[in-house]
Amino acid sequence: MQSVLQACALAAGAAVLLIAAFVVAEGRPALGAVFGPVWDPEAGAFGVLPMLAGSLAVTAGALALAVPAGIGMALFLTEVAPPALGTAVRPLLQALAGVPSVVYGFVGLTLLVPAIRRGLGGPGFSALAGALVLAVMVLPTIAAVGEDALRALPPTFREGALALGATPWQAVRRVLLPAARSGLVTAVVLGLGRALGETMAVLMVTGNVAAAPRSPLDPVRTLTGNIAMEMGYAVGQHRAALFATGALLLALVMLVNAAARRASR
Amino acid sequence: MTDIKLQTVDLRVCYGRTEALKGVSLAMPDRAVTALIGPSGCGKSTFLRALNRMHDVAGGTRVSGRVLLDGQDAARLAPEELRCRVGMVFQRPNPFPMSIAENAGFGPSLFGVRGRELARIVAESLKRAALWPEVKGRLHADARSLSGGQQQRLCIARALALQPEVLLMDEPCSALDPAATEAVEELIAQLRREIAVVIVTHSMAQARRVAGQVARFQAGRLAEVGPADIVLDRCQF
Amino acid sequence: MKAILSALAVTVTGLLAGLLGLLVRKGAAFVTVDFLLGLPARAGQSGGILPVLVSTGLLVGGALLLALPLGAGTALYLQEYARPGRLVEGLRALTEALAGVPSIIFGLFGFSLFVIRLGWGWSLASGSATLALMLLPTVIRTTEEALAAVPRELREGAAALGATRWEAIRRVVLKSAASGVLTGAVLALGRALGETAAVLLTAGSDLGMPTSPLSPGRTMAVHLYILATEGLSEGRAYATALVLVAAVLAVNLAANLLMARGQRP
Repeated sequence: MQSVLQACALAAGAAVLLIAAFVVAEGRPALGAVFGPVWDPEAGAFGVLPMLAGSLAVTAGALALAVPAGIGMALFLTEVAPPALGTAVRPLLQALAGVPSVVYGFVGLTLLVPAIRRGLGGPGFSALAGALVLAVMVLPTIAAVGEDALRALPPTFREGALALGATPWQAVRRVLLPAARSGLVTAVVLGLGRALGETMAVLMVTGNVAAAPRSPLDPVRTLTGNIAMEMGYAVGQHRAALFATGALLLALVMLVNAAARRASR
Repeated sequence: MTDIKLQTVDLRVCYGRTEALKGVSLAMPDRAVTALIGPSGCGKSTFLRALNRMHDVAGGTRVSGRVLLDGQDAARLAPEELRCRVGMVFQRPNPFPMSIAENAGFGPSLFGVRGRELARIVAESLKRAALWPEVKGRLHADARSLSGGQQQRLCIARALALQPEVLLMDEPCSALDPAATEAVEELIAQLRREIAVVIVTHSMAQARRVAGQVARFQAGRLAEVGPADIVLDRCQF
Repeated sequence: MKAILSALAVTVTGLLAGLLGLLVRKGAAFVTVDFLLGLPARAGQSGGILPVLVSTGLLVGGALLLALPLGAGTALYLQEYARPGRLVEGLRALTEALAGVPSIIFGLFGFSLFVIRLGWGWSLASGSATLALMLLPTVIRTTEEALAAVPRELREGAAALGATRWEAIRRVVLKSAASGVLTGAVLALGRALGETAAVLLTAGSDLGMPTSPLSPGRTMAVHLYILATEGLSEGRAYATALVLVAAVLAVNLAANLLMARGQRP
C-alpha cells in the first residue's frame, strides 16, 4: 500500500515541475522575441512588454485600493467589532472570496465599464476598471491573512500600550501594526500573486488594446488576458509566443510567492 | 499621617452576570505601598484594573462606584489622561517588539516628546528602575533580548517615564526568579518614597517585605485592611 | 478610528449584498424550469442551459473523481508513511507551489498535453484532467489537516491490537478524518465550479449536449463569459450568473457547516 501512496505523492509533486517544463518547452522558440515592445502577431512581432505594463498597472492599482481596505477590514475585525459581529462578517468575506472571477468580470462589464465611460470619459474599458474589479477580488485574501497576523499578537501589547496612555488608534499605529509587519507583508504579497494570475475578470473589463497604458482610463491588455484571448486560434510562432508569455508569468508569480514565504519567516 | 492619594468608594465590577467586585471602598495613601492579597479569583486584579480603567478596554464589563484621585472623580478625566497619572505594570513582562530605548520612551513619545529631551527621560527612567548600568551600552538592542527580570524592570521604567503619581503592579514578580524578584522589590522600596504603589501579590512574604498597608480581599469584597504586620499575622493561609 | 473602520466594513459587506441583490434583481425572472431544463437556441440568446448544466456536472465530477484519490493518497503518504525529512519537505513545497500557479497556466498545460499531444481534443476529458490538477493542492492540504487532527492515541491503540499500518489507517484513522476530507472535497467542488480560463482552453465552448468523455462541453462559467462578452442576452447572462453564484455559495456553506460539525466532539 505504501508504494501506491508514494506514487501518488511523487506524481503530485511532479505536477508543478511538469507544468513548468511543458510551458517553457512549448514557448522556447519564442522566448527571445517575447521581450520586445510591440505585439502584432500578423507582422511577426511578439513583444509582450505592453502587456507586462498592463498587468503591472492593473495590479498596482488594485493593491493601492485593496491593501488599505483589506488591512482596514482586518483591523475592524480585531479592534472594533464585538465577537458576534466578527462571526457574522467573516463568512461574508469568505463568500466574497468564493464568487467566481467570471461573475466579477460580468458585473464589471455591465455596471462598472459604462459608469466609468459616463462619469470619467474614455471607452470605459480601462486599466481603472481592471484595478477596481481586481481590488474587490483580492481584498478578502488580504483581510483574512492580515487578521490572522494581528490576532497572533499577544494581547498584552495592546494592553501595555493603552496602560501607557495611548489612544486605541495610537496603540494600533505605534505598536500593533509594526509588530504584525511580517504577517501583513505576507498578506500583501499573497494578494499580489493572486492579482497577477487573475485572468477572466480583468479580461472582461480592460478592453483589448495591446499597448502600454498612459492613463488609468486607457484600455490595456494583461499578460493573462493576452493568452486567454488568442490561444483559441494561434498557431506556430504565435502559439509559441503565448506559451512564452505563460512562462514569463509563471516565473513572476513564483518569484512573488517565494518572496511571500521569505517575508513570513 | 500621609495623604490619601487614591481612593475607591463602593466600587463594583460586573462581568456579564457575575459580580466580580461587590462594593469595595479602600483608601490608598501617597508615598506608601498598599498590598492587595487574597485567594485566586477573589477580585484583587479586577480591583486593580478598575483603578486605571483598563476594563474599558475589554468591553462587556460594567463598573459602578467612584474612583477618586487626589479627591477628584477619576471618571471626569479622559482614560489616556488618567493612565498617564496612574501607571501599570503587568504580571508577565510585555516589552514591545522594539528597542530598549523605544520601549522606555514610548509613553512620552505619544505626546510628542522627541530627540534629546526624550533621550534624557529614557535615561532617567532606566536609572530609576535600576536597569541603567545593565543596558546603557545597548539602548538600541531589541528589548526581547533581555532576561525576564530585566524585561520587567524595563516595563517598570517604561511606566515611570510618564512620571506617574501612582504605580499599579499586578503580581509583577510572579514570572521572575528569586534574584530578579529581589531586584524588583528593592525598586519598590525606593519608589515608595516618592509615589503611591498598589501591588497585587500572592506571596504573603512579599507583602510583609514591601507593604505598609495590606488589604485582604475575599470573594469580591474587602475582608480586612490595616497595617501590614497586623493583617498578615492574622492570616491563616 | 472606529468610525472609519466601521464605515469600511459596511461598504465591503454592502458590496456583497449589492452584488447578490443585483444578480437576483436582473436574473431571477429568467431562472425558470424551462431555463434550467431546456435546450439553448440561437447560440444561447434564447432557450435554456441544460447542456451547460450537464457539462458542468460531468466536468466537475470527473475532476473530483481524479483529484480526490490522488490528493488523498498524497496526503496519506505525507502524513502517515513518510519519515519527516528533506523528501517530505520537498514534496510539500512542490504541492504548495502548485497552488500558486495561475489558472491560465493550467489551461496552457492542459491544452498542450491533453488536447494536443494526447489527442483528446477539446473535451470533457481534457477539462477534467486539467481541473483535477488545479484542485489537487486544496484536497491535499485539507486531507493532511484532517489526518493531523486525529490523535496519536488512536493509531497507537490500533497498533497495540496488532493492526498493520494500513489496517490502522483504513479502519480507524480515516473514519476519524472523514469529515475533514469531505470538507476538502466540498471546498474543491466550489473552486471547480467557478473556474473559467483553464476550462475554456481545454474543454472548449461547444453548446451541444455532451455524449462521451471526448465530447466538448461548455460549463456555466464559460457560458456566462460568452453570453457576456458577445452581448447575446443580458437577462440570460444574469440568470446564469445567479445560478452559478447560488451553487458556489451553497457549496461553501455546506463546507462551513461540515467544518463546524467536524469540530464538535
